[in-house]
Amino acid sequence: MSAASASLWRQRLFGSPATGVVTLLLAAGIAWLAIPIIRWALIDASWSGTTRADCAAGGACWVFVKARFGQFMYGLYPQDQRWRADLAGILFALATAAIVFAPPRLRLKAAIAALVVLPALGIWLLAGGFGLRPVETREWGGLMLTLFISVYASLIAIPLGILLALGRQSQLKVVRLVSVLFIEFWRGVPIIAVIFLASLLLPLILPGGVGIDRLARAVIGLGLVIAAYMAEAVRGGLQALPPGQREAATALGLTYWKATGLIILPQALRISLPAMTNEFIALVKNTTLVLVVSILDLLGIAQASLADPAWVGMNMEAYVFSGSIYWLICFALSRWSRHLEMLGRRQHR
Amino acid sequence: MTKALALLNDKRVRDVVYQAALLLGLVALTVFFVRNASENMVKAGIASGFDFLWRNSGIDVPFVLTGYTRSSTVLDLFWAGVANTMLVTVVAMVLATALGFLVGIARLSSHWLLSTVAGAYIEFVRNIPLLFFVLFWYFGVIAALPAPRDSVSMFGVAFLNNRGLTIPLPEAPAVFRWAVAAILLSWIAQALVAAWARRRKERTGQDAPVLAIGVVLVLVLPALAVTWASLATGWDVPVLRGFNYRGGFVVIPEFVALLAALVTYTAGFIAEIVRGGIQAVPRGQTEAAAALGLRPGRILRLVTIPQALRVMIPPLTNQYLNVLKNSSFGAAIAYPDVVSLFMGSALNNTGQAIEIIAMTLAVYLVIGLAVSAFMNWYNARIALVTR
Amino acid sequence: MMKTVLAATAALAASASLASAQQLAPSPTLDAIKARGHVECGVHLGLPGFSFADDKGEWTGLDVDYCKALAAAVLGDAKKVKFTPTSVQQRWPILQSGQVDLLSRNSTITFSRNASLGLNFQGINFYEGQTFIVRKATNAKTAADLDGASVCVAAGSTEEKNASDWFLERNLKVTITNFQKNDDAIAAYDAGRCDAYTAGVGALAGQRVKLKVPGDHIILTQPISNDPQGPVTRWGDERWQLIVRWVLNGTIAAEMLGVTSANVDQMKASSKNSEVRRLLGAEGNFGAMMGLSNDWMYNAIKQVGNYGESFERTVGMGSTLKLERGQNQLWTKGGLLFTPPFQ
Repeated sequence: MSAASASLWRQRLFGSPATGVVTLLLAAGIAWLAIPIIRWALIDASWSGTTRADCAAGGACWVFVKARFGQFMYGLYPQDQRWRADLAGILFALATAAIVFAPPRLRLKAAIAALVVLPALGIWLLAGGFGLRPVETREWGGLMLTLFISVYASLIAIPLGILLALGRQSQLKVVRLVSVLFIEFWRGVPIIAVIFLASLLLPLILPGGVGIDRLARAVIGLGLVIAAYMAEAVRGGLQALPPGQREAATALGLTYWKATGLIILPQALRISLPAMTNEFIALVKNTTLVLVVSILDLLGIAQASLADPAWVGMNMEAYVFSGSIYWLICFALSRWSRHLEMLGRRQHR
Repeated sequence: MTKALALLNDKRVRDVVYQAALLLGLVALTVFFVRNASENMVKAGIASGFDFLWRNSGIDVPFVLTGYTRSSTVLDLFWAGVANTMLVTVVAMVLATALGFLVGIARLSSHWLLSTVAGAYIEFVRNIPLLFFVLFWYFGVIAALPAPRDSVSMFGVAFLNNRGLTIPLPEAPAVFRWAVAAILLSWIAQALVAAWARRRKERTGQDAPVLAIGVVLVLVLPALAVTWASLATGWDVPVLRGFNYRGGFVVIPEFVALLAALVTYTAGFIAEIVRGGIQAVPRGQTEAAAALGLRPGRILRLVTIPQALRVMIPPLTNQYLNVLKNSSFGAAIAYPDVVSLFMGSALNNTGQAIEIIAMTLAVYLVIGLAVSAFMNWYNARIALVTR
Repeated sequence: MMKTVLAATAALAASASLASAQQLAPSPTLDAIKARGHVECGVHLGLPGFSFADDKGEWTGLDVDYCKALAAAVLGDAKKVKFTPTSVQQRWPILQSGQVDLLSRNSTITFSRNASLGLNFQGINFYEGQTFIVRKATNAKTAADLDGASVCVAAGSTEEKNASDWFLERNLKVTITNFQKNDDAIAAYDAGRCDAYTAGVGALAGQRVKLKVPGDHIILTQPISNDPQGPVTRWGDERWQLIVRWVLNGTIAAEMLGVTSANVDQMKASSKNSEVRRLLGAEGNFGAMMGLSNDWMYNAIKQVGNYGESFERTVGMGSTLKLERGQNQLWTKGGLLFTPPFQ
């Protein structure tokens, strides 16, 4: 550290007596909190071995996470078929990258192509059939399922949310009323109740004999709620556009849908992308609630693995490990959302 | 034919047709669902209707604010759940706001370490599912508290252990109703005095002795009222017998854990709102206030926050609504809220899913509307004050 | 000549089976099972001894064995069954809405469930008695010693009401805390939130292994209630109910008659006992009367075993739970287990 930066830090932390006192108090607090955690998680922790007996008392038993790693990632998905989940994940990641980094001219086409092809491809890869060994949804689980629910629920939520946001701005009274009622209803009720509702009510209100997969029900329930939140995010973008845009488009003879699709939405969506990303983060976090209907997502698998008599008392390990995965995903997404926001602000200037 | 086409091309006609079609579609869908549901329910032999609400509930609830007992009706059980939901929601809103403001202001502090710690807290809290907080606090709270035999005694009348905080209960609660009434009256008086003083100051520029009157009205009178009430009634003081303390009122650990989870989680979001709101206030405002000789604390209180509030109210409202909805996470740790009691226990005993889910959702919608209405009123009020 | 005789017999048999099929009441559940190729069985989320999935997703347990026997009887293969784990909350709606063909989920038979929830109970595969698990340090010996205790329980279970009624009757004051899932309740008990956790004796023996130090806890021996448990079906589809009921009876009858998975082939071939012969399809047309093949119980016993074998393997002395047969012994040996005759 150079002398200049050392003096800068001294100024920052001990510039005045009051500053110094605050610094010392905070440092003591951090030390009090962090030292036991670090000791538990790193220094006293056991890393190697295969059973509970290989773990020293007092520290974290990461052996447990190692032994259960496959389940944390894939649930009970058959081991020799797990490459399919990996492949689906890679395809989605590639598609996202392609959309983000494609030259602007091709971006829309890439997005549409991805949206048409990928969801079906993903379901085929995961569920099987048509040449692949079928794997039932009850065998899915873990991180794979968390991501699946998040992605497919937002595949319902984003288009529906855009329609609802447009509906809320519509000149047609009935359309506006229906959109507002839909949005406010789903935004007003707790998601835990919605998932419950979807799992209990969907089979009741459909004609007898029509069964919907348990997982599909949870995805539909979450998709409907998040659509309402997405609609509000898109509305922010729509309201940020000067009304002149639509007026000009209409004056050029464009129909409502053409003006919306070519002029309004591309601009509005760019503005609301950060807000939509935030809703997606909320969605990822809310997928944990599917465990109330016994679907084993990442947190569900973590809890289920606690019931294993061979690994009793691994609560902290299970929660810390699964919690950090959620944190990493959500933190990365929130950084990206902030980056988009900055980008948008710069472009506006 | 051409006439019909022309009609279709008329925008007004087309609009009516579109809307009628939408409405018709929705009605058809609803009828379809309702018909299926009633058919399926008859086939499955599930009872329907709201008769079950007047049946005996028979469910024990460990944390009751209403007069509910196990021999009350299912409807009483519903209200007991609603009361518990509202209690944890309101307390969490207040505390989360306080903590959120502290963290938000700390985030903007010129002290590097303080603002970094606040930033780390915000980033940590916002990116973890709430369920983790609820479980963490629950098992953390239970682990941290002693067993009943080793309870932490507070002046020999209240006891803290892993079964909760046991506090004495007045034997004649009616006295306390009078005390509460007296407290409310003195607070209303204080609000009137404050309003009068503000108007006078705007008119004449003179300060009234608001502080002295305020202390008397807000603190001294209520304290007197409570003291009088406590002396006027006998007390049911908890005593340790067998497994636990008997008598008194128990604040269960589930309440504390859910409250702590809601507060720490929501505070992370409120802190960001506070930061955004304060940053939205033009810097010239604080500079001008400083030039007038105001100290930093007063600048924050008198200049920055009132202006920042205008930006903050709409997102704050959303956070309050989230607290309400998130209180349903209590079901994961046996906090007897409306989801846990009504959509859990009662649903299981009666099997009437549709009625029970509809009532539960209605609770959240109605309370949510009330919160929104209050916040809108408050928003309008502060908008008026700042002119 | 031989060929024509064979063909004629085959045709006759076919038309006979067709005729008998026409006499059978329609069974949409059975048709659906045959069409999809497996039985859908709702089980407990995870209760060692009764229904528990290991880390490979393989289910074992007494309730699970029953479903395997049912699959063997209906489809000829005990592996053709899939399990849906259900919480206390979800079990009835999942059954009522047809997502599972039956529940085999240590659920207690009660009047109000039978009368107002549209459920039918098809017999008893486990006589459970509710009791408590407590820490040894509390020195509690019977439930009556629990005055003033807090008790953790799963919300919406019969245990919740039983315990509440029992203590109220005796003027004892306990605080009951209701959790949404059994596992949540037992975790809270283990963390010290409650003095006792209540469930059936068998369930407690299974749950006990989930505690951090199982040796620190003791299960009170004196039950406070009777909780007979067995497979549950929804109302309607009488023929399916018949099948569910008689497969259970069949496994009990097999134990009565001394038919085991080891000797079933020999018994079928050479037993002189006509009830054994009817049970195993060597005599009579019992399977066909329900729309199954006549070796329905032969398959079930061959592949899964009789009730006693299943009991010993899952909850009895051959398992980690080490439960005595007790009430679950055959009535001829001092227990309550009983089946009407196969006649």
